[in-house]
Order: sequence, then structure tokens, then C-alpha cells
Amino acid sequence: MRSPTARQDEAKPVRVEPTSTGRSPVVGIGLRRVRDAARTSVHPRRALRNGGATAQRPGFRLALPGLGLYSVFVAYPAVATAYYAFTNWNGLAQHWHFVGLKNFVSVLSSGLERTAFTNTLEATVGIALGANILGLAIALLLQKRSRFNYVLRLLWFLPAALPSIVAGYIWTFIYSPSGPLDKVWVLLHLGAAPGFLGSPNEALPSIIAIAIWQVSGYAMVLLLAGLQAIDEQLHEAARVDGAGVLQRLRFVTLPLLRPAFAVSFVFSTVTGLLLFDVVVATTNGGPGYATETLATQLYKQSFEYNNFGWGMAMGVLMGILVLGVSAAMLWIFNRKEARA
Amino acid sequence: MQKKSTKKGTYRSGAYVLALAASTLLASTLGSVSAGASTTVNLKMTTVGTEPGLTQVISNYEKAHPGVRITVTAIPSNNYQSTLLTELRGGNGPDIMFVWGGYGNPMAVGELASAGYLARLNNQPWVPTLSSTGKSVVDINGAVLALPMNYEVVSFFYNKMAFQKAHVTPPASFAQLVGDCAALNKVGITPIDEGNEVGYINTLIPAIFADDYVYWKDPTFYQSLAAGKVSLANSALWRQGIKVGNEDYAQLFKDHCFEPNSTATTDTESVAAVASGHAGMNAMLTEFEDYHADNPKGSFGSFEPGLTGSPKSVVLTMDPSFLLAVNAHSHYETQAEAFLSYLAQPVQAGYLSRLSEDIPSVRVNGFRMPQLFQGLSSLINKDQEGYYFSSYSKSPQTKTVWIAEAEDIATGTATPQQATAAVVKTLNG
Repeated sequence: MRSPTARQDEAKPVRVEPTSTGRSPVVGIGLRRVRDAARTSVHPRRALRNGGATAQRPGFRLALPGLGLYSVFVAYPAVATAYYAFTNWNGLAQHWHFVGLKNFVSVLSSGLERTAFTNTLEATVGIALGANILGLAIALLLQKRSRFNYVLRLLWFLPAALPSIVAGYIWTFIYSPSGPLDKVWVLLHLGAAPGFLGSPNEALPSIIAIAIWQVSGYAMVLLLAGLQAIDEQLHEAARVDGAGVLQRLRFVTLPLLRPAFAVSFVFSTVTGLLLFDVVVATTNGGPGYATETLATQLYKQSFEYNNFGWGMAMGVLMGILVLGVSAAMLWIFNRKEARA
Repeated sequence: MQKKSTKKGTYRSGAYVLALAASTLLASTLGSVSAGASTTVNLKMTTVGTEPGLTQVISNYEKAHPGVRITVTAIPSNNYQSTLLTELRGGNGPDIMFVWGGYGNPMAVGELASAGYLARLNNQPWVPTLSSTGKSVVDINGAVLALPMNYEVVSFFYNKMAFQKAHVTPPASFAQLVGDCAALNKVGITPIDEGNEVGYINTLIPAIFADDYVYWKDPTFYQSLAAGKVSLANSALWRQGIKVGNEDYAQLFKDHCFEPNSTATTDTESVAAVASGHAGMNAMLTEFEDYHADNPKGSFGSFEPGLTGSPKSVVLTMDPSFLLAVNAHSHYETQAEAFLSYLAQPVQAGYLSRLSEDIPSVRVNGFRMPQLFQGLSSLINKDQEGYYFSSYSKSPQTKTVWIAEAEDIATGTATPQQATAAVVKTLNG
């Protein structure tokens, strides 16, 4: 489906005045040239059939290294994963048998996987909401350009630059029974300190907090970019119309931040769905099974139980889940944007 | 015109790639030739962490065998299995590698044997000198696939000053252990600081009591297990042992024997707590040097509590450690086997065992037990030895599930019955 904007461009002759959509006319000229060039050239498929004797062939050649790397490092592992998901390979033996859908049935009927799925879901919702709310709050606080704010932005983004495994180890120390958080708790006379990573009820929220601490830096950067792209005149107009701070946030800022939110939410959701490094560094799924996630189960089944086929089936299901959720979120955000 | 120049460019790029590939091939071939010309064999060896004394032993070996160089790569235990499996799968495995016994681990000899990664060592001179226990964990269907260098002892370590302060002695029964807990609590000392954040440590205390129970009921059980006459999967006695182990473990939590939030305490913190006297005792694999490192002036001892107070209900839980196997695809298999034979000689075996505070698996006449085992030497001398279950379970899952279930017992999330049922379910692999 073509967008209304594209149709508008097509109908209009190329002019130097600003367009009604606010887009630069230069972009319009560029698009037109590309379109004209495409019309006059041979159809790409026919061009390839003819030995590629047209302008498309160098492009295809230029894409070859990228396609090669993609095939080796993305496509092949993905296909191999799907293949092993239907086998009983233990990850070691040189022979294996096809077992049909047995691994998939086993994954879906396992009680432990249900626990891992619930934990993953809780973590995903917690991380996506927490990171974006916190990221937005920080972005709003630090959106004014000043040296002090630059430093604060950098500091807030710093955890995002840390490898998750390192973040996990740092927080293991912070959460430990004789760690700094425990000491602060005692100092503030807050009673007995929570068990944090050692308690089955508090371990998952503690891990979610670590992930939020890391991901909110990304969210802040994305939302800050979105905030700075909002025309100040819109706020000014709203202010003249008598809108207060909260009304301007609700009716001006948030709707215009939707594209930034779409990217940020998808990113934080995928982080939650694939939560692994922080869990391994802090609890390795424990205490008991309190922090098992789909990713830790995949790892354990494949590399600790030598149950590779099973792990790969899990991987395929996780891939479908991540793709489905990401696509659904983008669709929801795009639809709302189109309506707006 | 344009087409021509593009084609030319493509040919030129292709020629560069070919030239690069050819030069790489030539360089690698020349490298092999020069290595062959100097007749130096470079053996690659991979171990979990650093093995005390190994560097010295290798240095001695290299002096005696000028044509051999041995490079040791010590990989931390967390990454060892995934790193080594990746190397083996890629055909780039070391010549000699650390492995685990039986099947109870992804890198256990039984698991690796199924992929044909391990060389058969039946003809090596040290094989007849192996104890039956040592042989039982490396013999897979008649093929000896690794050299078990020594055994770690799973026992309780205690701070003598802390015990004196509470007027208690090392317990000789489970009831006395519970009594000691109360006495230590009274004087403000945490009775057991157990570092349960580290997975396998959770299983040590239940395993100790499971072993005691099994030995109490059938003193020949472990001999039968080593001889392959019984298996953990088929033994009703062992299933009962797991139950007793889990129940006793849960009882210790009910009696406030452990530090608060034990599942968030690391082994390092736990050893430090016992070394400083803030805690009275803990159950660990042999790590006496760590207690002394934390408190050089401290005085420590070790004990096995047993179940009933009768000497017949006490068995020393042991775990084969530092098992070394030879890569079946190694170009230097003969040299690697020769080095293992050197390690298995009594001088080297005794030296390494003493430094790592372990018990040698091969016969070492006149081996002096490390000082920490003074409280346990009577058990060792009487062959009252049981085994940590993982080398004899048929699946790596047993250990992992018992770790998780023991954590659930520690946090009150599972009852001993539920934990036992979950562990038993994994015994058949």
C-alpha cells in the first residue's frame, strides 16, 4: 500500500517551495530522479536473466560480500538450528536421528518451560515498561542543552555501554548479603534487608531492575532524539492555547514521540524476551527455578544436559515468539501513527 | 567500456584472493615443515582453573624430554565446558584435556566417548595401578578413557576457636550436629555458613547424608557401585538415601543452622566467615588453603558427622578430580599418552595430590595425608569411602536438578519429598 504522502509527491510537479508535508523539496527531486531512472532501466529480474548487462549488476555485485556474510553468519545458523530441532542430536555424537515434532511437543508440555515462559513474560513486561518510563523521565529532565546535562546523559547511558555479564557481576556484589545495598538498608533502619538474589520472591524483580538500569540508557537516548525533533512552536502554540505541563506532555509530546517509542519498546521487549547474560551472572536461574528464562533453559538443555535437539526446538520457538511480538508491536505503533 | 573495466576489476580481486589463500597455505605448510624439522612437539593441555604444582611437573618433564613442549590453558570452570566442546567440534581440541568421570556432566568421559573424542588408554602402564574406584569412573564399556589423578574429599571444615567458644566438639552424629548449631547460635556464631549461591555447594550436605545412609544400610554398596554391580538408577537404597539427605538438609534449615540468605552467599564469603570465626563450619570440597589464606593464624579441622553416632554410619564422600584424557584426533597421541604416564608415576601423583590437598587415585606408597584430613584419616584408612553421586549418575541432569531442588529446600519453596521426587526422576537419564 502506498502512503498518501507518496501519492501527493507523484501528482505535484517538482517545485522549489516547501511542500505541505514539511519535507524538503530536494528530497522530492531526488525521489523523482530515482523513480525516473528505475522506469527507464530494464526490469531487475530481466536484467539478471540477460547476464545483468545493466546498471543493476554492479549493485548486485556490491551486495555480494554482504549477502555472503549474511548467508554464513545468519542464514546458515538459522537453517541449521531449524534442522537440528527435528533431531535427537546430543551436541556431541556424529550421528543423529530425525524425531519429527517430538522436541517441540516436549518443550511445549514441559512444566519447567512454563515456569521459564512466565518468568520471561514478567521480565519482558517489567523491562519494557520500566526502561521506557524511566528513559522518558530522564530524557524529559535532561532535554535542555547544557554542559551539566550532557555529563548527566553520559552517566545515565554508561550502564548501556557495559556488557550485560559485567553488569550482572557488579550487581551481584551490590545485592550480596554483606554488600553496599544491605549496608544502606541497615543504615536507614529499614528493618531486615530483603534477600534480593537469594530469595525466590525477590530474585526476578532484582534482575529486572538490573536490566532496566541498563536498557533505560538506550531508551533515554532514543526518546531524547525524539524530543529534540519536536518543533518548539508546537509547544508554544499549546501554551498559548492554555495547555499546562501535563496537557502538553499528553497531547503534544507523547503523540509525537510515538516513532521513538516504537523503536525503544521493540528493543526493550526483545531484551526481555532474550534475557540471559544477567541471569547467568547473578543467579543462573536460581534460587531453585525462580529466575529461569527461556534463554537460560535453551542454554542448559543444549550445553549442560547435552540435549541439543531439544534446545534448538526451544530456539526456533523463541525466534518465532520474538518475531511475532516485534512485528505485532511495530504494527500497533504504525497503525496508531497512521490514525494520528 | 564500463562493463569491461568491471570485469577486469573482478578478475583482479579474484587474483588477490587466490594469491592470499595460496600464501596462507604456503605459510602454514612451511610452518609445519619447520616444526617438523626442529622435532619439537607442542602439546596443548586444557585444565579447569590452575592445578597447584602442575607447572613444576611440566617443567621437569620438558627438561627430561627436550623435544616436547607443553602449553597449559587454564579455563575458568564456568566457561570450560562450552569452550572445550566448541574446540572439539571444530577439530581444534587440545591434545590433553581435563574431563569429568562417568556420565554426570556434559564433559564427562561417558558423554565424550559417544562422540569418539577420547583415545583408548587401556594399554597404559598406570591402568593396573588404579584403584577400583578410580577405574570405575573412567572405564566406559571396557575402554579406559582417562587418568583419574586424585580424589577430592567432601567434608565439613570447622574453626577450632569458634567451637571452643561455644564449648562444642566436632559432631559424631546428626543429632549432635543439630545440638552444636544451637550452642553456636547461643554465642552469636553462625553455625554453618554454606555459600549456597554456588550451585553444586547446595548439594554437598544432602549428598554427605545420603552417602552415610546408604553406607550404614549396606557397607558394600559403593564397592558394588564401582564394580558396576549396582547403579544409582536401579537402586531403591540410593533413592531412599536421597530422601534422607534432603530431609536432614531441610531439618538443618528448620533448626537455624545456616546463615540468613544462604542462597545469596558465595563460597568465598562462606570460607571467609568460617576462617574469621563469624561462622563455625561449612561443608566444602578440599580447600583448606583458602581458610588459611583468609586467616593465617586460624586453626581449622575437618570432620564427617555421620548419621547415628555409630562408626558404621559414617562414610567419607569423595569426588574424583583432575581427570585427564587424550584427544583421539590428536596428532601427538603417543606423546600425550607418554606425558600422562609420567603424571601417573607415584612421585608426580603424590606431589600433585599433596599440593591440591587431595588423595591420589593411583597407588602411592607412603603417601602422607594432608594435615586437614587428620579428623578423617581413620575413615580413609578403613576404606569407609563413598562417592559424590555425579560421577555415577546416568545423566548430567541429575546434578543440575539436585542443585535447583536443594536451593528450593533452602528457601522453603520445596519440601524434601518434592525435591526427592524431582531428583529421582532424572536418575534414568
